[in-house]
Amino acid sequence: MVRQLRLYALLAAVALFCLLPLTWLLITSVKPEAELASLPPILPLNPTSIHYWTVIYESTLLRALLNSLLVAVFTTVFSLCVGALAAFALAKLRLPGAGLYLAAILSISMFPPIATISPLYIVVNALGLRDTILALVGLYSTFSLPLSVWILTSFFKAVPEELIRAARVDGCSNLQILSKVVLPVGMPGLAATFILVFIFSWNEFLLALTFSVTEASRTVPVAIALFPGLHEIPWGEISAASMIVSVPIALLVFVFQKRIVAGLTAGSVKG
Amino acid sequence: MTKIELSNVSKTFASRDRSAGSVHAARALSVTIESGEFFTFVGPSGCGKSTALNLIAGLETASDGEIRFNGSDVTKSAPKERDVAMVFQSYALYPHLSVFKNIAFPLELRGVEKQQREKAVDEIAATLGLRTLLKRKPKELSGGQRQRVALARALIRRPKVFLMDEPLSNLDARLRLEMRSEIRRIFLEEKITTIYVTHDQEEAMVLSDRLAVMRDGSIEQCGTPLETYNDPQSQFVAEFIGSPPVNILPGESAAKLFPKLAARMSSLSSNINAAIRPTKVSVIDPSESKVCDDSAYANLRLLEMTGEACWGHLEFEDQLLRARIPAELSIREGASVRLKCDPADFMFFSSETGARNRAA
Repeated sequence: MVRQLRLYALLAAVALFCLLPLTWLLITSVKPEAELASLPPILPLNPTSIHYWTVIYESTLLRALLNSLLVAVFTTVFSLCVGALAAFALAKLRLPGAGLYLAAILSISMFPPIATISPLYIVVNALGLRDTILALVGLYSTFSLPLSVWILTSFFKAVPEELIRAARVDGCSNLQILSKVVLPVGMPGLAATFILVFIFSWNEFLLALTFSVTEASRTVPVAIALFPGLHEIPWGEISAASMIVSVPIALLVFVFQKRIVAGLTAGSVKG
Repeated sequence: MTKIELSNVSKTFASRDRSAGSVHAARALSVTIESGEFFTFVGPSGCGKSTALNLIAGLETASDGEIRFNGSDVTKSAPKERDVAMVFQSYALYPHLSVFKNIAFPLELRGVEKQQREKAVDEIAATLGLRTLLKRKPKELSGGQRQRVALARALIRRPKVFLMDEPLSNLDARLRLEMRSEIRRIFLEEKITTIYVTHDQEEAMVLSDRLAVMRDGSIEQCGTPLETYNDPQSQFVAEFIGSPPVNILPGESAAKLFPKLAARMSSLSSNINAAIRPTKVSVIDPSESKVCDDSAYANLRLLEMTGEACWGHLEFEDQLLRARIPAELSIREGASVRLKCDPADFMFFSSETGARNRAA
């Protein structure tokens, strides 16, 4: 009993630690302008939704949200498609030197983005893709692919070898083995990768700041950072905007959480 | 009906340990499996029996040699082109599909229409008693039920060849016996050429029309179950086939224990092992043993009752052997007993090569 209480106390402390910034964000977003810079009160005396309406109607946030969504969706879909094909080959097709490929892929993902930004800028410019969504999708994919390949490879490796053999004997081609057996069985891995890549591209700031010039390709993190403040930083609007952009990610995680829970392979083979 | 011929089929794998060179999983296998035959590869683990099966299935490609189905060369063909079906040790059911979809999977891949698929699944489910389980997922089935689903999935498209890789190893003892007869029954009904792999010699004996005993990637002996039991060509086969296992005694010990054997062994060289099945040796009544000159005294170390028979573990000059103890005898562990056997039942093997010596 005491043990359990202690456990719950610990959990509560950790939760508080993790949720504090978000809570503070929420509080700030509903504080009227006058109370923003003063402490106390901790909780707003006259809560207001004015910042939300300002952000929605008077800023470019909605456009940025759309951009972010497009970039994230295209990046994720592309990464998953290419990543799944690569991971299947590396995990299940007895590729000679598969370990070497994986090491090479990992070493690529070690490059800090900041080190590659000047050459990338030249390339993107030369292609005439500056300030386009396509540029961001392409760049994000190059950074998220190594991650996708690695995660998916480890998940696909866990698909029992006999299942692959059974599918092959039953008459599957390699592509059919992937689509009819490995992907459904490796669904938790796919869901985990989906979320990680989506969050990465949703949050990415450096590349977005460098390659977007106008609102045509400006994504949410950049849009919020560039909120116009004439004489002071508009904390209320920034908080409201941050709350709004957190919602899609939170929803996504909730939806996929169930799929991530493993146990999908239970019953396929003895164990 | 498919006849399968393997001629000089070898498989070598590159070893992980470079210094060890390559591993020979199968060495020059040559065997003909007649159409409609139940054939078994049997042997201890690592003897290459699963490799042999995978080579026939097309899951592995032979490094050398030729595999023919009904005379046509399939050595390089994919499993799909060979039209084989396979049951795996772990059942390998698709966890995300219902029992119905699992069974229908091979038909779906071949573009069979939905109505025909349903009819076929219904038929096969009836034969295997799976009708009430069609909507379940594999994880909701017991081991025996999963095994039946795996059988159904393999049988549904009436393959040319039916392959089974240790299909009963994961079942408990009682269910194993039940499924064993089930497999034999299905085989007799379907008459599909069946190749079976097991490490359990009893399973191999009971199920097969013919079997091949394998060792270190080679076929040690190939024949009917009775041939391999009654007429083993090597000590390895003699020891592997039969339960309880055959008694092996060095030639000198055997001659001392059974004086009558000495005459038969006189023509043989010295490096020889004598072997006799435990069923062919029996302990005789101590009250009669005074008049018996068949054998010297051996020490009864252990009694083993199985219900239908009683086996005695005997010790003679540091050599251990098993003998049948007649049910009416009441003797205790530790007793000194004499044995009875027919010298003609002995088999002799070279103690160096293990090869059968038929000179005597």
